[in-house]
Amino acid sequence: MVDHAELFLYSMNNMRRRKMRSWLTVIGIVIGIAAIVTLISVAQGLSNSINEQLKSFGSNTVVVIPGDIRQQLSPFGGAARPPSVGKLFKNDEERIGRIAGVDLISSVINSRASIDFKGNLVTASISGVEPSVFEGSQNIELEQGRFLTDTDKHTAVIGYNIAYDTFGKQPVQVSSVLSIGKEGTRFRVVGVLKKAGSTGSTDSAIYIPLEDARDLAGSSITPNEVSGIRFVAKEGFEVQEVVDEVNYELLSAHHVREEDKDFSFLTAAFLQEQVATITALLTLFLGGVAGISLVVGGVGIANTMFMSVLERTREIGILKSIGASNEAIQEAFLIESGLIGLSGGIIGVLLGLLFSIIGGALGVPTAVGIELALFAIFFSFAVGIISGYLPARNASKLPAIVALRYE
Amino acid sequence: MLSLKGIEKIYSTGSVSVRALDGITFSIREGERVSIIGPSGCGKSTLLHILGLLDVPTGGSLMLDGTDVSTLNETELAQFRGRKIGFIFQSFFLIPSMDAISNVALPMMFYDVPAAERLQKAQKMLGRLGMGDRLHHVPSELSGGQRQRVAIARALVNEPTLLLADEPTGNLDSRSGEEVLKIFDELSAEGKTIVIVTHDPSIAKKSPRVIRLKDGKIEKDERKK
Ligand SMILES: Nc1ncnc2c1ncn2[C@@H]1O[C@H](COP(=O)(O)OP(=O)(O)OP(=O)(O)O)[C@@H](O)[C@H]1O
Ligand SMILES: [Mg+2]
Repeated sequence: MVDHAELFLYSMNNMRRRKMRSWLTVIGIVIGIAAIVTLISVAQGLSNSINEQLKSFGSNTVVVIPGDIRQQLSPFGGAARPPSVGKLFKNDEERIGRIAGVDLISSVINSRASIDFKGNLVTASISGVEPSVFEGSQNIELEQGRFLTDTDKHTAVIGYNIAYDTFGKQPVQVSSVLSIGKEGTRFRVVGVLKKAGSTGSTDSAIYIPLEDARDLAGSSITPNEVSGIRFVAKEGFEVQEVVDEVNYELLSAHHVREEDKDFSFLTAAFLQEQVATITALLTLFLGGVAGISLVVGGVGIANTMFMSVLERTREIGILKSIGASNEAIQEAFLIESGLIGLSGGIIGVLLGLLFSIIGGALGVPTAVGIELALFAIFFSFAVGIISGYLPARNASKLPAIVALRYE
Repeated sequence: MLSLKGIEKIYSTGSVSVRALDGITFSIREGERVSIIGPSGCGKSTLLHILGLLDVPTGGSLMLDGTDVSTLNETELAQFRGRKIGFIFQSFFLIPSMDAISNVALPMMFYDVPAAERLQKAQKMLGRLGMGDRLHHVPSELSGGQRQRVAIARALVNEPTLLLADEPTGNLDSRSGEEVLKIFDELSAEGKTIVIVTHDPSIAKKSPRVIRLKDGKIEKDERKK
């Protein structure tokens, strides 16, 4: 019936008459949408980058660590129970190694120590490992040299960044010598790893033989203690089933019940689950915070629309007197509020995109999906329509004569 | 084409209620020209608003073109207002942000008239009323008489069967008023049905039929011969 295109022009024209007010209202929405897009893209980027790093943790790899991690990760349980004081020992490794389905087992001793290379001193984390670790890891490749062997003593395999970045201009190469620890024990480099890139975790690693690491740790660990035990579930075995068996074995070895067990398992599935939970919470929280600003923007639209209706009351009466239906009046105002929401959404998304790009350039991981952008635009349009609904309805329900008499 | 029976309008503001119209009964034939006169506050505008479907009576019935308007819903009322009735107000009621031609084209926006045709018709109508050289002036750039001619063009553009005017010359000087009246004479000669509310005795004198109101009642309804 009514010419919708013409009605659209009419609403546009009305917005132009109050340019300043229209723009200010749009800005209210822009802020909310830009905040949502930026924050969600950061949460998303964070989640992506963590998942990317988790990929280097092979899907069959299992790491046993001391303490009950579920208890520490739980947002409610942490304070209620004291963190477990359990430890893992070399003989735990032997027990686990006897279980069917366990392969390529290795104890790990992690520590931090100072490293001296040609007078450059840095502090880095050092992993004492057994050679089977290299076999059990995916995406670990040599750029030069070789991996550690069973007979190695005072040798090291280093990550790409340690070789080319950490010590400045002079690259550390195969047969370079690093002095590690308080006593300056000399370690000969036998291998340099290829760059792992975004999956990152091995780029800053320094691997040395397990017993060398025990010597470096000195009295900070008890005899035979290890920081973790790493193994791979054999081809043809379910990871979870192997983990259950290892769990049973360790419970009886440590004389503890499941409720107060003093060790935990890290598996790819478990880590991914944890990351997913945390990033979902983060996304919800950040989205919620930004959502509040969008609500404020929506109230701004409603306010503007009520003003717009009020100052055009007479005009509404005129339109009705020349044949405008209630629906046409309502539509005109909804076009106006919808347009405010929509333009706020589009500008907000562009701005959010810009912030994300800037954030990305500054090293904050960000990820803007097309879905997020479209959703944000649609959402802001919906906010415009919802905020404009009541004012528009009020306008359309005004009796013609009352509107005309309005001073 | 138009008949009223026992039309009543009572305004109740708080405890006081004003009986603005009290049992108005008359009919108007197609092509008739009627003036409604009477002292200030006697209910002339109220009556005209009811005829123009801008206001609803609190009692009585109104038949327009064979339809009892009390049976119409909001949307149908809007259609009647747009197609069958042209309303001219004392203070013009143009849309200030729109130029003359857009104001005149506006009533056609609510119907299926193609956009190009709308502008053509609006231009033609303005030309007829001697406003052909003021198409793109906004109301604030026009004199009172010119504004009223734009308003008349707007009222006529949908070719209504009934033209209602509430003191159309009330805000105009005598010369502009004369010009506007000449337009009504022409329209009347073409056979349009016209009802004019006026204080102006010279308008009333020209009318073949004059209805005189007093305190919301018809005091006199006379046809000249
Ligand atoms: N909205 C309203 N609420 C209450 N009373 C009203 C309202 N509109 C009009 N009236 C009353 O109804 C009566 C008729 O008013 P109306 O405007 O029809 O008079 P009129 O004959 O057009 O007067 P005038 O010649 O001065 O324009 C008046 O007494 C007026 O006070
Ligand atoms: Mg009046």
